[in-house]
Amino acid sequence: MNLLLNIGPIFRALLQQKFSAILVVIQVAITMAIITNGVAITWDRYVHIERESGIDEPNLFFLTSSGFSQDFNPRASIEQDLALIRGTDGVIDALQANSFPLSDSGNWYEIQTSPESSAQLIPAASYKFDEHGINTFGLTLLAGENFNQQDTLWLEEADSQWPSHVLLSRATAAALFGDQQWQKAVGKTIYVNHNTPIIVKGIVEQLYAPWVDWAHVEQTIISPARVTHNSARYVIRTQPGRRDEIMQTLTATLAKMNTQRVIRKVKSIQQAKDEIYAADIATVSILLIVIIVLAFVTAMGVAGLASFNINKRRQQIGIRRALGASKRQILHHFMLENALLCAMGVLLGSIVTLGLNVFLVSQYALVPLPLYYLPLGIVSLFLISQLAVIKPAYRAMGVSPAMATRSN
Amino acid sequence: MPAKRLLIYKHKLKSHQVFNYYCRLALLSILGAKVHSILTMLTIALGIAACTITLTLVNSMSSNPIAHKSGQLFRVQLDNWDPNQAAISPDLPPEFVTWTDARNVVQARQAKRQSASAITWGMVNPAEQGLTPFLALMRVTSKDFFPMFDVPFLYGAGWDENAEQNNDYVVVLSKETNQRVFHGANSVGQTLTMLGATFTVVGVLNDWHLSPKFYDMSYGAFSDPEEMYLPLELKAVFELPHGGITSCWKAVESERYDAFMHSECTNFQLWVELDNPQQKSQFADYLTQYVQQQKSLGRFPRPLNNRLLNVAQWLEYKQVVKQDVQIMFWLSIMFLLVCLINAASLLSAKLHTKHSEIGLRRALGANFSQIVMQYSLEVVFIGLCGGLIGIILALVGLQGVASLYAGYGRLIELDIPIALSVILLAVMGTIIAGLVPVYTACRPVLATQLKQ
Repeated sequence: MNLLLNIGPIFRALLQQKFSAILVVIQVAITMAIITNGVAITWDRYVHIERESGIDEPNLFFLTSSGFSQDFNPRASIEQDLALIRGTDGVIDALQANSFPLSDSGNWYEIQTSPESSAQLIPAASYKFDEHGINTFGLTLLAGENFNQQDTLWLEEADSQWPSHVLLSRATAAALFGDQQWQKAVGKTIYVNHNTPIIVKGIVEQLYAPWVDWAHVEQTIISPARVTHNSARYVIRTQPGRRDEIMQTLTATLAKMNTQRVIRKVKSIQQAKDEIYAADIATVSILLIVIIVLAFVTAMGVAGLASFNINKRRQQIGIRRALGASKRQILHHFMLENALLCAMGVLLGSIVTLGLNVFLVSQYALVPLPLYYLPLGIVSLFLISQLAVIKPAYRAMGVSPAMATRSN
Repeated sequence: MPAKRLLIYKHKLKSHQVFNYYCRLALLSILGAKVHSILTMLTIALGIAACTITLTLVNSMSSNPIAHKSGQLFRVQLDNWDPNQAAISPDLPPEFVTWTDARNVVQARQAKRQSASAITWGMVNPAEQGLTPFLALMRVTSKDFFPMFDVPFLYGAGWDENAEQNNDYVVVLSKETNQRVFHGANSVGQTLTMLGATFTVVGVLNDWHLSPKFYDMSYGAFSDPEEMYLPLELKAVFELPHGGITSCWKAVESERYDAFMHSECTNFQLWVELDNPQQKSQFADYLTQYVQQQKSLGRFPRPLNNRLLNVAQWLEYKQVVKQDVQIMFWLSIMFLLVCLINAASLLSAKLHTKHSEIGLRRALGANFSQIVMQYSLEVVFIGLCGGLIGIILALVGLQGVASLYAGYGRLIELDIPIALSVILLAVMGTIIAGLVPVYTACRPVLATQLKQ
């Protein structure tokens, strides 16, 4: 109660130095607008980057083997390479794949539950993985079963035949058969290219399409086809912690084993992910730095002004102390003065924050600021400015009552 | 001490001496409160650095790499898409054209220049040169590609019409590829084994890295140019793979290569050069006529929807400047504002301690403008120092930003005019904000100030 009674005199004291008080209020307001909107964008991007693609990202890498001579036999070479890779110490499994999550290239098809043209078309990215797919990528089979060796269909380069069985991601099954009934997809016949029937053999929990920004990124379909191509891409899963080492040795071994081809594009999934999300990672990093530096700058500004005010009022403080004010009351005075400025700042700040957000949303494809960010911004600005004022206020506490007798 | 000097200048000092004297006073004042001055400079520096960095980002991403011809180069889009669904919602035509349309439009020669192109790749086997084979990224394109985009040549030139008509095996190498295969020598007329055949080098490009790579952004707006260039028709001769982005709305009829080439799948970038609005409207008429004719052949089931965008419009449409960067730009402007306000409040706090000094000067006869002049110098000096530190911070920051935007590295360089204009803005801001307290300091009654 006592504390609140002080507001009157403090406010009148502030009015004596309107210019610097207004500067602090504006500074707090703009800082709040930047920090609140910045944190919201940063969090949004962070969630986007950290989505689960469904594969064992840290332990996977890939490479491409490109044959160049006339007598290069792609199929024999693929079989030989895979046997060697799978036999390597530290390799869990490997396969030849046309595409995979985070590879940023691949095909998608429209599938439907019946060949009639009225049936809804569901877009799904197509992966060609044989029975090693689940183990290589570390997928979780939710229903049905994995392919076996007989399911695999060997295709020529331009061949667009479909094998008889496929696996679906849960999101694909849900899109085809309804959110609650995705389990029922197992054993059902679905249609690709309007009229090619295929049977759903199983459902995997999560498997992203190759393009992270695709609208249907969770919808994928796996067919046990293998394409003989002069260029073959292998995806290799290693035991945890051995990825980089195996990446090096295996590349060298493969290059030496068959000189009719070159090994290129050796990259870990993590690297591929970092490249794909480069712009988002950049946004997150830059915004975080901006937020931290800005908080620092504003804190310095608040502290600077407070300590200037205290220096100017040393005699006043001395008089108050001489008249019986306790050290704590002096501390409270400056903390309260700061809180008062800050309160005006965040009040204006809430308006600026929302205004900035409305502007950004109208100009760019940005989601509106969730309202709970506003109290978060208010609390953090209060914390910043109160923390900033503690040190100068402690100095004010130390002013001796004897100052009252001196003239500065 | 100051009092004595002030009395002297009234009678003897020339204006540049007065200026020197003010400079010395400003310097003394800055050095007299080192921590305070450094803090102020640092605050201004941070704001300038943040603004310079984001402005550089926006500027380099939105630069028009062919500004002098931007209004004469047009991207051609034709709507051969699904009658029930637009290629790009709500009603835009696809960005690429089919092999059929690419060849038809180029061969019709209705524009001043025209080129269709696409990315592909193939094995190069420079055994003669004693090198190991490598896979090269290639661009198949028309001969006009080189003159219309002002592609610079180090040696030789592009191929001619004869080479195009006879399907000659000719190739233009990038400077890097020429370095790799021929060690940078003039390789025009040399042969190169690639795609299982023998090609003749007709030209070598000089450095050519347009960014954004507006003529083909299918591998990203800032991707590297291809390693070699071949005549368009060779794509079908060698059945080269379809690089870039291929989109189909109709299943391809058979698995043969030529079935794809005759399909409605789009993969080719089609550009024309038109010198004036008259040529443009003539070409637009030709396109209408062409689509009508194709409609009579049973193609183009959608309503007429041709688009001709010039380079600037095309870049705008493709949203080359990442939205995040634009958002960061606005945030950094506000950041600079906070920094300037902060600097102003620090300066005003300092000036408050000088009320008695100002009073003394006024009592000794200095007028308002002389006092403003003296303190402005101090503010300008602090602002300039802040600007200088800011540029250093921006240089360091840009290094960091360039490593974050790995694919953009080459184009992120400090732009001097931008940096200078930000500094100018900052100094002006600081002066205006810093002079308010000077004004208030000059106003009060002399006697009270002198007393303090």
